[in-house]
Amino acid sequence: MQGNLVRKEIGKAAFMNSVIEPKFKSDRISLCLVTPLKKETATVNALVPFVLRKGCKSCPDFTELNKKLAEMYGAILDADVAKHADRQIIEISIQFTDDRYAIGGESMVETAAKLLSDIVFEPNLDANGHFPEIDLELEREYLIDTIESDLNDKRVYAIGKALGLIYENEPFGIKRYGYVDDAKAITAESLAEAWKNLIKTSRIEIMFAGTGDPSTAEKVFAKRISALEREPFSEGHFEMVDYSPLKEAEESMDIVQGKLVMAFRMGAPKTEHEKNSARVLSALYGGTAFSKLFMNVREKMSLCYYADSHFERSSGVLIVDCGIEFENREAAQNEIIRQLELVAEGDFTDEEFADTKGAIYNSLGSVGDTLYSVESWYMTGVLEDNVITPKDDKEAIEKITREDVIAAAKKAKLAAVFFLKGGETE
Amino acid sequence: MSHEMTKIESKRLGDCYYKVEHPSGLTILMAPMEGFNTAYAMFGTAYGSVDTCIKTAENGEFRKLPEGIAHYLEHKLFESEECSAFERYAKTGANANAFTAFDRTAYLFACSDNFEESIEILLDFVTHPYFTPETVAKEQGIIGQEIRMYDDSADWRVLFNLLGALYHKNPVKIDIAGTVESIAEITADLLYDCYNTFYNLHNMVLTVAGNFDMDSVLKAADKVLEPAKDFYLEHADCGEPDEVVENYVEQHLPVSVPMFNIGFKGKTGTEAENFRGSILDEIFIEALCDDYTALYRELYDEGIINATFGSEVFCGRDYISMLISGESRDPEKVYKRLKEEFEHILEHGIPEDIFTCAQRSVYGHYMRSSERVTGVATTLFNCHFPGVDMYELLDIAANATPESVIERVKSTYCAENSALSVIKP
Repeated sequence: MQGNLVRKEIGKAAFMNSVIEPKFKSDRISLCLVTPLKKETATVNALVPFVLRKGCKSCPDFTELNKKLAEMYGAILDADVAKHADRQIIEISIQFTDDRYAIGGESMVETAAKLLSDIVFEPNLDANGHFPEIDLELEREYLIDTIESDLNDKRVYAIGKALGLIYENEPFGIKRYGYVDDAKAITAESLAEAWKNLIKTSRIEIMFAGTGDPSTAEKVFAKRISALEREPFSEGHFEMVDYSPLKEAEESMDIVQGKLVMAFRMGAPKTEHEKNSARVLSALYGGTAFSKLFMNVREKMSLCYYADSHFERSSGVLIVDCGIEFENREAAQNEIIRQLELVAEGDFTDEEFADTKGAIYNSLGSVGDTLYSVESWYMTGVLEDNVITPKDDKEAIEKITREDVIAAAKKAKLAAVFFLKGGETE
Repeated sequence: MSHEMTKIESKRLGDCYYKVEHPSGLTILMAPMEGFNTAYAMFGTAYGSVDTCIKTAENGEFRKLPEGIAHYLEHKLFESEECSAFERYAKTGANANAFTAFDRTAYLFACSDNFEESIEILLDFVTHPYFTPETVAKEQGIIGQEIRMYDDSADWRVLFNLLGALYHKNPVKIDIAGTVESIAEITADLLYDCYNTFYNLHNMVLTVAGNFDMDSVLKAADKVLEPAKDFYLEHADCGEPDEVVENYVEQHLPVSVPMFNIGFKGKTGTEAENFRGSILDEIFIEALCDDYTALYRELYDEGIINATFGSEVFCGRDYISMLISGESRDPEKVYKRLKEEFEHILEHGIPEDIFTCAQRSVYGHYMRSSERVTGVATTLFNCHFPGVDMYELLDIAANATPESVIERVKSTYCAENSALSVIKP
């Protein structure tokens, strides 16, 4: 059906997903290798997409590969790594102009699907089964730079530090790109082994979003995957932590604005209804330009330019962050806590509550309008084993009551505070 | 009220949009897009951070304005006597925002429901300013924090340090939000003064794209907009020379790897010439150093650039530059090699295969922006003030030849009029 997800198993633990919307002019295919997130393998797995992006058997030269993409009207081939709950995801995607808009009417879908498949499953390995030495050297160095680059954006850095405190012993605490020491230890053998293991044991999720014919792509992937020796990992069940003792830390850096991050445990909301209650709470508290935090910490007290909250569905944690003058830390922290307490006491109007839901409905209404948001919406559903449409989600949010939000706010307990302050860089 | 509507079509894309010259003086550009669920509207003025010295019909003399006042005005326009525009939008569910750029200010919203109410709020709050000494004072703290946030941002600093090295006098080098000191000079009276000067409907545009009914836009415009006074504004010629201030500038900030911005400063033409020319400049800069060029490969294999390397053309009313940015352990070498390759291409031309890659990439980029509601409204907005038709951008890219690109770049840029800005750990 138009605009809805079609999902098919095309191999052992390998799935072809597609969402077709004729309004688009391009297509986007993403191939995700989904694997357990573990400290020991996080870094070497994180290097895999970047060496894959350098070339493949059918097009071993990096410059020639990029030329090929440019000739496809600037097709974009992206390689990256992501996290979802206790899973690590190696994602390679290609976005390109659909056949209808190609000058010669050539089959872009087939070309793109073959290229993507070659990149992931037929890399440019040498006689020993290793990736080219230069790719290992350069991409390992680049991975180290990427791991260290969270320092460049102080807001991202401070949030990362707070999450490090709260998730110390959980898979969420494992860093997206891994660790510098582990990166330095990667060898040609360990990298090749990681790739082999990924294509053998991962769950493979392919998402086709766009205007073209996904069956052409499906054939390409099904054929390739059927030739692989597959032993998919067994999917376990993940337990969310309900509460943890408060951890606080601060750090100084040569900066002019302080960054305050506070993370609250929400008592491990398990059902969809509980999770949605926490989502509405987060929007009411600090998710809009008329939220409690915006109206009070910013507009009334003029303490900051931004004070936002968001709810991490998979870990059940509510995160608040703001940028403030160093000396206003206490005032900001007290007000952030006070505003949450006020919500827990039911100190919000029916109007604020209805408007907050309206803002959520509005953002759900925009999901279908870009290829990227279509893909990420349905990929999240697939990963959470709960595929719903934005319309289903809106109906679920409609069921949330004031009392649900008050109950969710009452469950909040501060679990981590991180403050980045001025001074000599530590 | 019935309005005369002009339909503008693109054969290449099979798309169209409509233009209405509203009796109030406002130009309205509308692109209904089938199959989309959201609408995106932008209402804005040709006024930004560079407008620091102006002459109007009432005042015969050029006057200086405090740095950052256009941005301050943007923040304050959201308030009225009763409540803020954000509180009004809260009732419609629209996601509203605004931005101040170098030569533009825009107020916008995205919605998937209640479009009629939201478009009326947009037109209403932007045309009804309300400033008092108290509300103006309150904003000092908020904008002060916004300025400080940017002071700590390496991405932002590396760009403004570069602009300071490229430009002697052009106010494009001034930070958009101003400084904590300059914004302290801003008063309610000054805000009214700037508002009345620049927020004249003849100096503004409304663009809407996506899922909406064109009649509802015109109805809201008829209801809210009053005919604007005649508009006269003269921008002071800043007397910017072709040469740069200095070729190198650096600053230390806490970053992991040195970051750089390299700029090639162009000779400026009219706003439309800059805008049309910028498409050819984009093709040139891609052909110079995009990821399919020999130069990119050489620098990548030496380990002195990584995937953060990128380029763009930065252009406006009276400035144009080609910018290249990234992270590097040896930014001086990247700069040196770019200048050498720049001169080599101007002398020997662009190889055919590289030209095809560059042309198709630029073409594909503009083509893909036409499948996004935000992309269409933004392109309509950006094209209006230079007076260029949105679909002409694709034609310029499609009709470019290696020779036309080289000719344009030779007459606009030279390798010496360039600078390197570095942020070091």
